[in-house]
Amino acid sequence: MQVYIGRFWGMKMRRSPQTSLVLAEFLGCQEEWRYGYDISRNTGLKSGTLYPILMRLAEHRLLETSWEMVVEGRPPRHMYKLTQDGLRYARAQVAAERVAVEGEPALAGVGGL
Amino acid sequence: MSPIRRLAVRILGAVVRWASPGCKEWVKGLAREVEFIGSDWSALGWAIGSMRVVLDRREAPIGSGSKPARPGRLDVIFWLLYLEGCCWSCTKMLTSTGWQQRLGWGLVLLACGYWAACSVFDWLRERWQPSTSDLEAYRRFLRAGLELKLSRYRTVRRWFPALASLSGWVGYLLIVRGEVPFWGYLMGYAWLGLNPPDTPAKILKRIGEMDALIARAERLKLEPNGKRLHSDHWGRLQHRDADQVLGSTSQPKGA
Repeated sequence: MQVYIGRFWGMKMRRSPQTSLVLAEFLGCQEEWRYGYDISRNTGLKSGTLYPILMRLAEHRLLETSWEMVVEGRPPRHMYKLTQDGLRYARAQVAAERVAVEGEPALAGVGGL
Repeated sequence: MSPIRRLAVRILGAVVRWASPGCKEWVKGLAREVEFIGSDWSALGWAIGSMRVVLDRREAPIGSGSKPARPGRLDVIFWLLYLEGCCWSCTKMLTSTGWQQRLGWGLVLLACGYWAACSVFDWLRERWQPSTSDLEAYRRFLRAGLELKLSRYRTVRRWFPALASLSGWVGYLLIVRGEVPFWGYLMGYAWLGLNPPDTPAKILKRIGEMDALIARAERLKLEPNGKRLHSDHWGRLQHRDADQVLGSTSQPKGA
C-alpha cells in the first residue's frame, strides 16, 4: 500500500501559471473552505482545467477536501482548503511565480506576501 | 428546468459515468456545482469544460475516495448466528449446575466470541476495499491482506483459529459427555473442509501470483484504457482488452 501511495508522493508538482492562480486564490482566504465554481469564477479557469489541478494538489497532500454538511433543500457541495503544507507550498510557489514570470510583485498582498 | 440546463446536467452525468475511478469523487463534486450556477449558459459552459476531466485517467488510491460498503446479507446472518451462539452459551454457562457442563458452555462461548470478533474485524478491514473496476488497486489491496495474514503466521496469533476451533469442539464434547452423534462428526469434517488451514507456503505462493498479475498489468499500461497493440499472425495490428491478454483476471486467485 505504501508503495502504491508513494508513487504519488514521489512525483513533483508541475509548476504552471494556472496552478499559481489557484494557489493565489486559496491564499486569499486561507482558513475558509472554497467551492469549485467560486474558484473557477475568480481565477477564470474552466472546470476541465481547474479540477485536474485540484486533484494533483490533493494527491500531494497539499489540499484537503470535504463534503458540505447537508442543509435541507440544498445538495451537499465539495469543498477545498489548503493544508498546512499546502499553505507553505502556495506561499513559496506564488512568490517564485511573481519573481520568475512577472518580474515584479504583481501578487503582492495575497496571503500576507 | 430549461433545456440548456437539462443538457448541462446530462453532460455532467455522462462525465461522472465515464470518469476514471480516481476522479469519480471529484467529478461528482464538480457536477454538484451546476446546481449553484445561476445562469443556464454558464452551467452549460461549466459542463462542457468538465469533459476534459474524462481524459484524466487516475487510479483510485486505496482507502480514499471510496465509501465504506454496507455489510452484506450473509455478513449480517453470520453476525446474528454468532450473537445467538454467544447469548445461548452464556446463559447455559450461568445456569448449568455441573462443572463439566459449565466448562463446556464456557469453551463454546469462547469459540463463538472469537469467530464473531474475527468476522467483525475482517469486515471492518475489507469494507474500505477499492472498487473492482480498478483492478490494480484491488489486487494491491488483496496483496496487503495476504501480507497481513503472513505477518500473523509469524506470531502466536497463527494458533488462534485452531485454538478457537479446538475450544468449541472440546466444549461440545463436554456438553454431550462424549456422546457425539453421527451428524456431529459430519459437521466437524464439513467445518474442516470449508476452512482448510492456510500455511505460510500457501500464502507466499498466492502473494507471488498476485505480484505476477500486478507486474503484467504494469506492462499492459503501455496503451491508454487498458489496451495495447498486438499483431495477429498476419502481422496486422489489433487492439485487445487487457483482460483478454491476461486471461480471466476479473477475480484474481486468492480473493
